Amino acid sequence: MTDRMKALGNVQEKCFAAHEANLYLDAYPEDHEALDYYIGMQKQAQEATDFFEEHYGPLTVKSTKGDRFLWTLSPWPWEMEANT
Amino acid sequence: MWTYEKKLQYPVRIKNPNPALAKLIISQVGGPDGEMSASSRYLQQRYSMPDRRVVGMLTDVGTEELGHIEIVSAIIYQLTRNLTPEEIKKSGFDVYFVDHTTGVYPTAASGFPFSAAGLGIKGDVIADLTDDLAAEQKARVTYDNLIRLTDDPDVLDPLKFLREREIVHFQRFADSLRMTQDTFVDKKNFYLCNPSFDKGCPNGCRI
Repeated sequence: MTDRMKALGNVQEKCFAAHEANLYLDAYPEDHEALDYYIGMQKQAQEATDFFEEHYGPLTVKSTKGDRFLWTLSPWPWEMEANT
Repeated sequence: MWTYEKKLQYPVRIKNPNPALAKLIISQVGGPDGEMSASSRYLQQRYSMPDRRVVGMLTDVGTEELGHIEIVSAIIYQLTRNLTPEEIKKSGFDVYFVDHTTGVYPTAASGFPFSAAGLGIKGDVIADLTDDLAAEQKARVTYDNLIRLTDDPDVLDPLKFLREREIVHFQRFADSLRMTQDTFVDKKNFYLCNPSFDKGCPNGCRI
């Protein structure tokens, strides 16, 4: 596994955990334990995203981190190269 | 408004192309219970949803489903790369190839193209959420069936992830249905009136 994939895997993992907590919170917004988990995980997701973008290019078009040219030129998500 | 994230929600890395399998899995892109159907259903139900909390759930689940179209499309893309005409003929992929080459066209495995005919957008909170519960279960069964027909661990891995998501979404829509019914003024008659349409409906759920 490449360093890029490790960094992307970390983004995927943290974003997924935050997203899952978000769906739960849509139904149970008063659950403070879940809210704390969500906030903590969202922070980790942001850190993982910042790290990835600085090294391998933007993950969203609004990102100001990393090389702007890579928005179109880095591998697109379905390519093998983006997943290995 | 949406912002695209240039990543899959879950990685797809398939070593061995398998066009015969792609021909089946394409159903989860454009089949009756596929991901395109799911995302369209949830996102389009939002406008007549009287409970803002449920609108939030439909938005967040519907957006995730857009990401699932991309995961399944990535599976198709990788299963159909570097094919020779002989492999295409032998695998039975030829009937798809003749019209779409290796483009990812939203269709059912049967060849029936993506259709809005099966989308439940009824403009009624109970009807729509009940349809969503059924949609998640039908998608789960389709993944069960695909998993039965797949022996490649590289393909099974993302299919199992997607199957799990159907179960979680079913749970979240069950929460949504319950919480909206909890706000109904007349709890003995959920069908008294449609809060999305009837003026002065005591089953207000205007939250």
